[in-house]
Amino acid sequence: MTVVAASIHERAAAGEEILSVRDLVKHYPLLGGLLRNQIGAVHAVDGVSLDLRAGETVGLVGESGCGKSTLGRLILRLIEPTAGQIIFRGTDVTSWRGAEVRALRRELQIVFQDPLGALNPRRKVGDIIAEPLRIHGRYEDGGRERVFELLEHVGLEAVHAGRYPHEFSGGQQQRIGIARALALNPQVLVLDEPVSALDVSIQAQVINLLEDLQRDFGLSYIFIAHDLSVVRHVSDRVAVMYLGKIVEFGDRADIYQRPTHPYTKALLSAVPVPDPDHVAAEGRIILEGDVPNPAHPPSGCRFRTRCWKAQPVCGEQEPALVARGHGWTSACHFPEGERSEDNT
Amino acid sequence: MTDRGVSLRRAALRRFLRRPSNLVSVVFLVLVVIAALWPTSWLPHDPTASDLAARLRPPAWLDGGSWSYVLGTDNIGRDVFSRIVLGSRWSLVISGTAVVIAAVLGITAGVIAGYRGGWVDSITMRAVDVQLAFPVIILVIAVVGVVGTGITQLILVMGVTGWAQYARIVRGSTLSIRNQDYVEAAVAQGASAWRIMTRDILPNLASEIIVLTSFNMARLLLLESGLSFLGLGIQPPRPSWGGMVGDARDYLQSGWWILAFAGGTIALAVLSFNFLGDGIRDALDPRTRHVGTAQSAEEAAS
Repeated sequence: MTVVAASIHERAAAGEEILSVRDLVKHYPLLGGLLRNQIGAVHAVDGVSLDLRAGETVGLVGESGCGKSTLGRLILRLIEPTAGQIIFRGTDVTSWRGAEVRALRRELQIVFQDPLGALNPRRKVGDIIAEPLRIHGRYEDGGRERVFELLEHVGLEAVHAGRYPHEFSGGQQQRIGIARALALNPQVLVLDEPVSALDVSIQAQVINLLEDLQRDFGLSYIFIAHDLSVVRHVSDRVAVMYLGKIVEFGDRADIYQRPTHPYTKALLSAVPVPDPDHVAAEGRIILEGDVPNPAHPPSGCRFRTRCWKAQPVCGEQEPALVARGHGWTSACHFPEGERSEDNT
Repeated sequence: MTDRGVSLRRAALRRFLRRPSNLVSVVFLVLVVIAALWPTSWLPHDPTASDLAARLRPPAWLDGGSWSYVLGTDNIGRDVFSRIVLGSRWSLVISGTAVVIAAVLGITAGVIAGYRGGWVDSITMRAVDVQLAFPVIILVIAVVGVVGTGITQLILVMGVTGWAQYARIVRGSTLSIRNQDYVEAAVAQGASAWRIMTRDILPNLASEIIVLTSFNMARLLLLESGLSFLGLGIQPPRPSWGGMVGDARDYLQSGWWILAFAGGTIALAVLSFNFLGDGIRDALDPRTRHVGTAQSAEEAAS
């Protein structure tokens, strides 16, 4: 285990890419009319590119319905992409089928938002954690011990294996879900809002656990959340999504201190800040209106309908992701601070 | 904490027993089952032996009745009580076996249709519609016309045609279970469709299947009685509840008790299975209860 972890740490130090997605698209067809023809499509994920390096955490933030959970499930091959590529350790896995996908599942795992809902209520915790081992034929060879070991890794005890999920608290249930995700020694975990259903005091414990596990096992995380303070705490890099597209992606420090996209700025201004003077100085940006219907996204920049800086060009031309600094991109015609000119 | 699973089950049992109709149903059904399984040697009379000297005797408590024939005798002097007791055997065996066949077929079809979706689901559900629209009695008449009457074909026809009720309900529940996170978790772990259907979906249908089985026992018991009444089901001299009602039609004036007791037994049995199904459903799922919610929630918590 330590040997594996060490090699992963080396790769992480070298900034090796473990997973990347290229121009990923997921459209859900809208059927209508007498013959149920396709009359449109919901653009859930619309051309997303993202990369994840070994041992790091990429935070994925955005409002409900912006496509962040869909993106997570596309990466795991739980739903089929309409277009684009998913590349795991240099291999394009987008077209993998059957046994190949099954092999991929050993490397990519998921932790769900609703801790209880993700556990089969009719099965004991020990069986739930052993299930991935059984599926992949690894239970006969010391599976029982492995289950106890996993329970210990996530801060539970061997006696808990004989109990049912409903007998545990929310935090403990999430630990069970994490233990199950770790059973096959995966390299990447997609954490789909892993703490948003938990009490604040429990959130901190689970986040600390996730950070410990990342260090011990050299895991890479895609951390999906809408709570920006949690994302700031756990992420190395942050991607901000709006209506199926990434609008800004970069290092945590850059994104949080000098956001260049108006949407990022608006999101950050909505985070409760302990210092009231700070809020007064910065001012809180209240976005007008609702997120547009993803079946009919606005022309040009998708954020223009709610943006206070929108100009005619925003409706005509879709802004491309432009470098704002080292490994830092955002998609806006009128970026905040005009930092792009300073750096390029 | 360790006992919570057990205490939840105990709370459900307590909720079930609180309703008098549940209790009465269970007691009656237990009596019927005992009567069906117990050897017939204890009966006061041979259920098939006629005694022409004792034709159309009224029940014991009426003028002319005797305690030897508690519920009276029929038109050829057979003991009504003994015939009802022996009749329960065939009625229960036939409906019970048919329910098992219907359950196995219907649950299989329902789970596959609900989990697979798409054209598999469409075809299965159209087949359910056709099955439910088709009168079973006509089918039985056709089968009897071709191969003659008999218990085997009766069980088969009732069982095979009974799948649709199961398939429709099970498919609906499967659809909702399929969208649970734990099913997606199983997919994410690499579980096969078969594994997900048998380990994640089927166990979570258990309580629903128990309830469905109770209702279907009632339905098939009534169907079997109807077929026997028409002479398509259990054949004389074997006694059956439906057959007794059929025979008693001609003696409504001179021997009303034959029809009253045989018909009453059918009604009670069907009603009991229905009450049982209702009771189990309400006890297992507290959300469907209408009365005393706060009080029961308190008890469940204690």
